[in-house]
Amino acid sequence: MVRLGAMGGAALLTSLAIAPAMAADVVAQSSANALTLSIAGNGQGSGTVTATHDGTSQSVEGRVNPPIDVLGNQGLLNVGVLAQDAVASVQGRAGVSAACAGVAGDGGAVAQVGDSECITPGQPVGLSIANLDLTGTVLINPESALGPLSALQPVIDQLVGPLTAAISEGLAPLGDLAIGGTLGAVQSQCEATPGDATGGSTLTDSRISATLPGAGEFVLLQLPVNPPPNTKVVTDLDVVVDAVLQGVEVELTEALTGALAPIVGALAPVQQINELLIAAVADALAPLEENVLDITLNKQSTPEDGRIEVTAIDLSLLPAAAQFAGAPLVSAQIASVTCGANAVFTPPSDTPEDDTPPSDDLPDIPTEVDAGAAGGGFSAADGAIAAGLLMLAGAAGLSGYRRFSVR
Amino acid sequence: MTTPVTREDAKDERRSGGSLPVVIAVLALALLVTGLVWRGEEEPPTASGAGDGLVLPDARSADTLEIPTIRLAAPIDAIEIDPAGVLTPPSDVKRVGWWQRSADPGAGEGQTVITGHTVHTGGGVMNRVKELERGDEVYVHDDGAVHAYEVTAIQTLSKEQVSRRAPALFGQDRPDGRLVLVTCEDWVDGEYQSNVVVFARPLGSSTDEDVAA
Repeated sequence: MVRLGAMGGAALLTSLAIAPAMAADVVAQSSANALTLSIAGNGQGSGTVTATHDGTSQSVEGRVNPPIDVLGNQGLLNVGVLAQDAVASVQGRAGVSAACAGVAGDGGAVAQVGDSECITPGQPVGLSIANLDLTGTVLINPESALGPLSALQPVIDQLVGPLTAAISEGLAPLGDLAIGGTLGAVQSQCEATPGDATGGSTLTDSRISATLPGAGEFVLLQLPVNPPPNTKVVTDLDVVVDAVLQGVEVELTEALTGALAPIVGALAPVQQINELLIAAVADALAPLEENVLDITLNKQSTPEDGRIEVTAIDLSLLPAAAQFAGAPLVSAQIASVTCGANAVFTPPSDTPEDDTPPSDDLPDIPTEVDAGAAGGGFSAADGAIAAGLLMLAGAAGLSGYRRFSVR
Repeated sequence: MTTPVTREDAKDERRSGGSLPVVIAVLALALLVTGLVWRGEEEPPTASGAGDGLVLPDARSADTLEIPTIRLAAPIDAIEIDPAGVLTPPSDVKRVGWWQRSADPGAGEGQTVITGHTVHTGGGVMNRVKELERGDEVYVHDDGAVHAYEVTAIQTLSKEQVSRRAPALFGQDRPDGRLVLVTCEDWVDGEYQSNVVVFARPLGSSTDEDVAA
């Protein structure tokens, strides 16, 4: 019968957030955001729906399950359905809240918040993160890459220009490297009660890939359906770099044995020049071999007891890769929810005077009397009084014993 | 009429743990009994305003619930139910709460609902309410007046029973101005499972002409 709010001075109270009996205090809260994008610092997205409960009523701000056109013109996600909903309530006297957010492709459907899934898959969501422009990235440094040819200084200047042009021409067909992928249904959900909050994410049929014209699609990673909290994923583009270098080598060889043959033929073996230039190109592409994207799946944090923040996909294009990007810097948070921190609602109970007007919103009669406490019935003063009484009684007992003995 | 702390009480407190002050007090009482000449009869509550045989205690300046048989004398605060329909006594377990939409003490109709905490480790203002018996007297001091009641029934009800019978227990559609005292009972696995509900009929008030005469 007793609940936390009625436990008087019980220690339990110190571990939970107790809402005083003022209507403005938040007893339960949650929020949901289907999608937030930042492209070159310009944010756009579905907005956030926030639910709060102050012990007497729920307040909801923001748009629940907004239409897709709220995303405006953006090329990152080809989303068909946006789901975001949040609820906050008081059950018994405990603040309870839940939230769900997700995205799906055309044909996806939105369910009620609180269900095990708040969105069901439709067509895959096309994800286009960045197009990497490779054509302008190859910078031949004569002092390093062509250092072994320094003895041929008279012709070096004449040589570099045509070689650079040849390399650029060779890279041109490979210059539109697209990084993207497809997402099935992506969603996050959470629930919170006083002192406790849980949540998680699910991803259906989702993957990140790179597409190189003429070389097809490279699947960089298949995203797990139920990723553990804070799963970091790495987009290793080794395979892409290898494909680029193979293309460059073919183009260079053709150039060096073709149009450029009269110029370079006497300088060094074609193979030697080829290797040097490929090495230069590889150096230039080195950042691609590192992680291009910073992706965290089922990103979770608990900034305070009883509160959880969950994002299904937190994605950003790393600055190291930005130099290749034809598009500006991109970051995205897909399916983000928060729940808590909630509190136990404590109604006014210590009003010293009978001048508080009854609220019209209250029930007519009580249906439960919460008149039990776990502890706190004795104060330090009680103990002191009892101890004093014990001493007094002890003295009295001794006196009585002596009086009895005298008789 | 006065009932000293019983052995059963002491056993209960020992079982509950964390009730050292009670143990000390019981020990002190035992020493007092052996060491001093016991003066015999407890003095009855100070009375005044007799009329028709009704003896009322002196009025108190503060609103107070007084039940001599269980040595209960506690200040009364006005309280309200929460939106979920839960009535919670003052957080100070030494005080009791009067549901401010129930009848005023001494009213001729409705029901006066007063609740107080039971603390399973001891010290709650209504820990001993379950010991009341039919015929015991209860006094409510309110705005300088004293209202007397006589206990007519003591019931232990489950939470479900309280909820189901709420209109009868707490509804104000009654013609007699009955007093209803409520506290908790049956501490099991960290929760109280039941309520003790005491009903008392009005005997009279110090404001009554025949009593005051």
